[in-house]
Amino acid sequence: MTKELGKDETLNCLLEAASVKWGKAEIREICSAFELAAEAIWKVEEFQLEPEEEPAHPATIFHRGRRGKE
Amino acid sequence: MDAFKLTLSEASRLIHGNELSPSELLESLLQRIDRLEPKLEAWVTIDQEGAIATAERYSKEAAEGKLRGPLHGIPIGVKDIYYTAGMRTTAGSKILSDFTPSYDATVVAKLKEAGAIVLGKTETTEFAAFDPAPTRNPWNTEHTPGGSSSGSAAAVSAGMCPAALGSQTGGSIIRPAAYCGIVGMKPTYGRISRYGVIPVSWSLDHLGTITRTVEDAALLLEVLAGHDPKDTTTSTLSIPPYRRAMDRLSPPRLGLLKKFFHESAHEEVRRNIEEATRRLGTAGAEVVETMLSRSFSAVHAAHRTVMITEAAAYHEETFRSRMKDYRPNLRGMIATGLLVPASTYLKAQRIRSQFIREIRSLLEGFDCLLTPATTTPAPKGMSSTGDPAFNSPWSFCGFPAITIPSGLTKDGLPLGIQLVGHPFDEERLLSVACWCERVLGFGHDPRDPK
Repeated sequence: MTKELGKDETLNCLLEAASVKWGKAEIREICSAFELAAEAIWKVEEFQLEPEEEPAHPATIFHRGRRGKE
Repeated sequence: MDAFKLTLSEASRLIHGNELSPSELLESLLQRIDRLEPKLEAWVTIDQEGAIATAERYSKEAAEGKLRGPLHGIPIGVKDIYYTAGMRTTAGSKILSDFTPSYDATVVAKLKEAGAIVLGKTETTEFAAFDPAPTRNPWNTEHTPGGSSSGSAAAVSAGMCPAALGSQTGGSIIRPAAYCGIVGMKPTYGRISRYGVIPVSWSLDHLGTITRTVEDAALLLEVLAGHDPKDTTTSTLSIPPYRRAMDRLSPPRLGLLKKFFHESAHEEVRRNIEEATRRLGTAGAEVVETMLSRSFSAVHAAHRTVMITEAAAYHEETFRSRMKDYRPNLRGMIATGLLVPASTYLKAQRIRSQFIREIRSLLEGFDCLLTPATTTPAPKGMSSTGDPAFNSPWSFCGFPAITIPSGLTKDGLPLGIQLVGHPFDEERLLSVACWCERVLGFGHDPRDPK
């Protein structure tokens, strides 16, 4: 959804999906949450990571780093 | 003696020395609650009857020299997201308004084993997210006490109980504790079992303590910490005697984080951290400005992404049938969380891996990192519980953090500093915090609201 999208486009995508799921009237009251989420998703997608970086996992976040780094 | 003024450690010492009975302590706290609760609304449930009966039994035991543990006969407040057998657990929500668990959360069971009396359940924002509790700040009832551990912070600050349990997913222990002029500690992720506590976000939730002193935080952590087979994320590392850290105090080496933390701070917060830094330096601490890591720029976004996605996953089923029973902030959080692509969630967790590694490296050569605890003093009004931006990075990386009070604004609202320690080295963090507490010597209490 977000790889090539800007912040506004990400927001529009979220609002569109939400309108289909819950209807426009429901979304109006919680609109600010969509702005916050769109900004977060966009920033996460924008951030450049090295390909070998693995996701943190709750049970192991202090015991597993990037392969070969710890 | 005004027993409600005693710290947790003082009360423990007096009860162990037979100079104070659990019933005397409880009576003083209940009088305090009678007087202040109508103004502060810190409690969802107060188990007056049960607490009186337990205190009477424990008073007899204490008189006979039978002490159950370090918290014998001490009433404690428990945030209303912890399961308490036979005591309602509402999570501040309409959805759980009639829910009474049949068992205790692991840490509640540990409190009871140590002799504590569960005095009642303290107010929380809805499901420990962002829709405020009714609780007011004891320092000024026109201001929020912060959240989500709103009732725990207000109750401890106002002398309704000497200590309380809180939880933090973003800044829900450190922020309310700082807004209320007391000590809040969030230990390392995995230090305290989360079993039996209603989650916001499994991988970000931390349980912790709200007390009036660092020594009290150490005492409580000794009771609560440890591996729990029911929570696979808990560490098997041994638990040091944290209170002993108070006996080995020396000036620490602190890494001062200025960028972002000073830039984003309210003017009075900035002045306070500068003054605190100066005083710590004068007393012998080595304070060195250090730079934030590269991934910090994405940390708040990644934290939010993880939080809303996990919260949505937890609430999804109930949300389908009872969407309208969630208040707007949480409703929005769940609705948006359900739309986060799996690849974005995983990328946020990958950013987390990088951030953990970078912060570990940043901490090398320092005992702790130093920042202001909050962006502003407690905001006026009850529509928001304030901004967790200075706390959520440490919930994201899981490193331990503590706040201690460091001064008052010109309007008399408390401010705090935040110290961030090495993972699973709460001993050192507590020792540094205790040293700083003594140097900064806060020494203020809120005036009782009229």
